Amino acid sequence: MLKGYMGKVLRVNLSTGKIGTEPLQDGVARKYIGGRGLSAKILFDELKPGIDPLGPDNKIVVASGPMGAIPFSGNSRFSVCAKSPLGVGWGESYSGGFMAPKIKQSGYDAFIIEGVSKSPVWLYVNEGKAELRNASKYWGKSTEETENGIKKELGDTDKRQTSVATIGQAGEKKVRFAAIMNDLREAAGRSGMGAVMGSKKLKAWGCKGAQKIPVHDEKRLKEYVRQCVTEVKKGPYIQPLHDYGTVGDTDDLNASGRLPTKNFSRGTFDGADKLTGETIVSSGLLVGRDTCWACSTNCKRVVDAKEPYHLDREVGGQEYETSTAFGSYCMNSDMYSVAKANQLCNLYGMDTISTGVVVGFAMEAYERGIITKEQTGGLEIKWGSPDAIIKLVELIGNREGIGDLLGEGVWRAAQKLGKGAEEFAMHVKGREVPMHEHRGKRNVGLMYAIADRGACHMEWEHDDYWESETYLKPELGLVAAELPNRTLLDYGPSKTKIAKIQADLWSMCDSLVVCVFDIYPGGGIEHSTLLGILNAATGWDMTMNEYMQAGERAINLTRAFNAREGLTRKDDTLPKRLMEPLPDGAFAGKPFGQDILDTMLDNYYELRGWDKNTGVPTRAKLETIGLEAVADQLEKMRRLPD
Amino acid sequence: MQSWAHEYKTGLGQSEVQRLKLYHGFRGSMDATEDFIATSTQQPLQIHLSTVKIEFVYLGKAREVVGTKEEEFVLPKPAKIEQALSQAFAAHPKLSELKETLKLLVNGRWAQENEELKDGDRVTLLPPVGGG
Repeated sequence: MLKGYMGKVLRVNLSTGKIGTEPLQDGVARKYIGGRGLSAKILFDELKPGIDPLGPDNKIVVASGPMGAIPFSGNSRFSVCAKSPLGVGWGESYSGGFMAPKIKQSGYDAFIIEGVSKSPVWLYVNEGKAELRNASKYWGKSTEETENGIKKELGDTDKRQTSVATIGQAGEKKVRFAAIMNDLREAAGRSGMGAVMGSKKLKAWGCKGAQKIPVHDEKRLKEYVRQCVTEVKKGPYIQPLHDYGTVGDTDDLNASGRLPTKNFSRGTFDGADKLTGETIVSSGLLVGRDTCWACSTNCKRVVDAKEPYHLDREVGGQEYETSTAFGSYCMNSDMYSVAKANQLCNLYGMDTISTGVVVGFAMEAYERGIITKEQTGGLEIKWGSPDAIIKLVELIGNREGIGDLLGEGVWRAAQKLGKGAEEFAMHVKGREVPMHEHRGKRNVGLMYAIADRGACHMEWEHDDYWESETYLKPELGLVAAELPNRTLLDYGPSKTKIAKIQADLWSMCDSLVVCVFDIYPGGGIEHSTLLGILNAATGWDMTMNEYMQAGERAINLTRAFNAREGLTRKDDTLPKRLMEPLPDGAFAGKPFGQDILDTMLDNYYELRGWDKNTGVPTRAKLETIGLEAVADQLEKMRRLPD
Repeated sequence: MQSWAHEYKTGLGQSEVQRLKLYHGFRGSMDATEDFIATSTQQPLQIHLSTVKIEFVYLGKAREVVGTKEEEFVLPKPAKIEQALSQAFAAHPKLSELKETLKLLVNGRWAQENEELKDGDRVTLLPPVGGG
């Protein structure tokens, strides 16, 4: 019997209403782990290239990991993957809260959701049984109304009895960056997974249960869990994360000229001190700290206010990405409006990064006369206007007026607007660029360009940690040889090697589905400890080499998924503006030019065993990591490099 | 330019204690500082010293271990960043544990430890900032 897993995958066909259970085989589990890896395996095997991501052929995979429901800090994540409606290829998203253990305790390791329902439904999974229920009464409702309604429908007396994940109006209306919200304030935000749910008329799913997960060696497992308690606090990021949340990074990034400002045209913002984690605390906007399941870090913000905007403390406080996206990115220094915009996104169910980038794009288009007052229905969308930001969020969430165009995301909106709007549409592979200034940390520029899900800031830890020997680990291949010279601007082969190794490790975190904030280097939990937990839970004898290779395998699978869709090296790029130098801050005048990107791509492809001309994995590479069938399929489609 | 003694007489808050420590390159215990303060109170120093007043800005983990975001230091001229750092590390031993990971900005531009500081300079200590 498979240990560490429930050994079951739930398959739900919304077109036919058929619900079935399929076994999760040990060989598949060990090779693909869970989360990202397992989802990539399922979607590569089951999706045909070229399908419409918002059509009936797309599938959603919701997955936990093999360590799900084992209580240690950071072990509270789950993944949602599908073909992305934002770009043209792979889509993935992760969320915290209380859903991950509930997926396991409800009896399953993963759900595969396919087809399209004729009418709105929600999926109820409870103690190894699943059913589709009528969701018509929730259609048109916010995420909060839906979650509360479902819990009432189930007769829950405890807030944590059922974990509910739901879309809001934005997902129903197929806003391409619609999020899935769970536990009211947690978001599987990126890649438009909420729009895929909406296209299937799946309003929500809810998990309940108390099934026990079989583990191989409970005694050893408990020892490792105790070790995590000690280790996690050793991470340099943990206490600041608790005190000020991720938004605590705002002043650091502004001081170093790396705070995305005015649609990535500047690196510093005069009003940044009004948006910091410290200001949120000292102003009284912060009324509490909250947590995900089993986590001691408590990085979640609880905010509340009556004026100037009425806030709802149940639906979350701003984190760094959100605060910057609706703050400096839009030249807005009003943290209350940021809090409101964040909560509206959570209620409509929209990714706050993409929404903020779309609003910043609209403000620049308005300034340039590409979007007119007639198109906005008389709304003045000037830089820094808090009310304009909030109104635009509402219009996008409802796909009303100019919000209908903006709900397409910046890539498609810019194409429709024309008149040079593509020049300031900040996206890679259709996905809006997150709030990190890569011109002051060059591995992030590589990450933006290379990520299969589109512009992403979470493929590996950022450059700052690798500027000294303090956080390097020779046992993981992270060595000091040819260390960069501490300028954050290096982009040579040793720095790219750090990116590659870190990407394998974080890819494994996405397959185990754990929170990287609690894991080395920012958090203190060591990968060797995670490996110990994995082996104790499953009974495997996995080595660190196999652990890292599982991460590498998932990266190659998503790359193969995109190659099958026709993506090549030309898609591993950056918007023109992001290659130009910043005019201000500590990195003023230092471009991230095409020459730099090409050097980094060449080095990265070489380290990965990918063809330098196409950016596609070679047969030799795929065979090395047990993906022969993937190589065969790419070859059949003439996508495999010669 | 004011004499150290004049500055000292104007008030004996925490920053003045810090100034005393800096003036004497003090590395030892607070007791010794207090002894020195007591002695100085009886016999104010007559020498005049050219100094620079700078401000340290601690961010992220540095702020956590120091317990404050901003701190003022007075240093004898010529003052280099490395001297200022030595004083900060002496005052905050836990900060010194972060030494290897910290990056330095002076008035918003990258700086090296051997650079000289001017009166009113703002020195920012940046620990690593990651993705989030």
